[in-house]
Amino acid sequence: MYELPLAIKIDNLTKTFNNQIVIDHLNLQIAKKEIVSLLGPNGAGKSTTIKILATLLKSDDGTAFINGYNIEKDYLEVRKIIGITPQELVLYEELTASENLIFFGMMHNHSRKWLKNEAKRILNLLGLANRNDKVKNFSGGMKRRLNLAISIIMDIEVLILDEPTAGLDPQSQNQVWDILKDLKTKGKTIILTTHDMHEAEVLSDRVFIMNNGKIIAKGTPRQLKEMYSNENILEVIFKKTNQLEDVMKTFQSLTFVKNVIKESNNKLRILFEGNMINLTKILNQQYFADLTEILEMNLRQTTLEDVFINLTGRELK
Amino acid sequence: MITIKPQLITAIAIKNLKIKLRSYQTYLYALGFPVLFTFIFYFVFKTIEVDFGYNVFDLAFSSVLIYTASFGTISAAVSLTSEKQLGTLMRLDTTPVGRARIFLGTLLSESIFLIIQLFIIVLLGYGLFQVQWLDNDLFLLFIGFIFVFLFGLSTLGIGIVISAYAKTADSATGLSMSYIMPVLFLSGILIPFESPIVYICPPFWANQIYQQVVILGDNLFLDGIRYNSINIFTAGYSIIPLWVGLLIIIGITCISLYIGIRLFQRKTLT
Repeated sequence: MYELPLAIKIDNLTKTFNNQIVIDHLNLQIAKKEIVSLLGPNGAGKSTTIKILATLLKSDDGTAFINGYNIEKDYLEVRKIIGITPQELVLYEELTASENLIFFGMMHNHSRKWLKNEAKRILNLLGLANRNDKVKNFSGGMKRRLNLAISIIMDIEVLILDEPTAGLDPQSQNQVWDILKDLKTKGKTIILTTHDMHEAEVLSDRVFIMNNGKIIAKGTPRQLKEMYSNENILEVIFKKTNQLEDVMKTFQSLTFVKNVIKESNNKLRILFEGNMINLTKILNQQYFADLTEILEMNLRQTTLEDVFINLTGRELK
Repeated sequence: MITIKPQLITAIAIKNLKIKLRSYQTYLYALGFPVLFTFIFYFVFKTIEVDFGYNVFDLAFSSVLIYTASFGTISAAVSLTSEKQLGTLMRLDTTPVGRARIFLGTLLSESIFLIIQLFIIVLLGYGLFQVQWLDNDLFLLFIGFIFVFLFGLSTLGIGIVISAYAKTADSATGLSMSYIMPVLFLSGILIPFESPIVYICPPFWANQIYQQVVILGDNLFLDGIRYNSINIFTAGYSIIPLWVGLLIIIGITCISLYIGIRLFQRKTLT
């Protein structure tokens, strides 16, 4: 047993599938009452990490501890304190929302009486209180909220959420965020994966960016953005597409330009260091001489998404 | 060693029963077909007299009961395959419930459902269609019911084996039917079939025991098997005593449940 106030401690975790390394000596520490986002492109190893933490998969090497319990040796204890909200909608469609909640709550040894009251409270909180019909009649968003509610009613210490708000409308997304923030104030530790950078920024105390089975960056959203704080981004949409390769080469030759990314056929994202003088140097290039050739231009500061793309690249995984 | 925790097993069983009873497929397979068979057998065989005041329907009704119990294979296969397919099994695996309780809960719900199913068919046959049996002795009927139920449990084991391989509930239904129907026909309980093949088909043993105990009042320990797929009254005794048949059913139940659970675990645990 660890005496540290850590909720999750991952030591050198390694997992391979068909001789391909999916998790590569992963090390991670998450404190109690922390909300942590795990970001990464598809195939980065996020879901595999989550499955190992949820005791669904065994690692090839290394280990992890949840609240001091070894996930392999003490898996029964681990299962008492974790709850997972999978990316897929894992619900009994022939049961009602309340029946789903009570059933999964009972699997965590809660009493039926307590669960009945708690189910009412949670369904009310998630705007599902007036639905007494089968889950199969629910909309996708309602099912997703119920999918999350199951983890909430389990009343466990560590919540593992795999893209909990994917496909939700903005209202429902905000509602879920409020619930997660509330759970944090109640002392729960939350680890979530998401592709929504704004969600990661709004919710997370810390963000871990994974790529090729490794953590390639970690810190608070602010710290990660500060890694690129000296950089600005100029997004330009050209009317014509034929000269784009030449434009890219020209900008890449400028010493203060860190990166030029082709967003689409006629859109470039230019990352450059520093100040207005450098911006003027860019705008002085011949391509900006005739402004009627520019459809749109936008100057902005680095976001978490830019950090993510800078670190993991643009190519599809 | 796990603690039993009856409240968890009961919760799983109740959940399974609710899902089953709210699905129209359940009524179609588990009740629709057996009821249809009962009606067909009644109208086809009721008027054909055999010995001692019995008619062919009285003798053939045990086949309907065995046929009904055979659907335990589909029921168990679909139940566990759906858990796999929906991901609920994976979600349950992250809770402290454990696979042993999931299996016990599933077996409990399937057993309760089997009893309800058989009870309805028994009421239909012995109540509505006035099927005759020896001296109208309810105790004999009860013993017969237990034997058919025991056979039903063996079909659950086969269902679990199928669920280990089936990817979807639909394929589980298809695979189950591919097992049930040939075995039922080869056992000679639905159509006359005089061949040693019947001895390797579990429904044959269940049907023989039921008929000999409920209709002839045979004692499990004294008498041999009286096999003749057309008329049990004109059949001669074989050297195999009836209790061997019972032992075969119990054996198949234990082996199929053991293999089914082992295979399911191997295929679904990583």
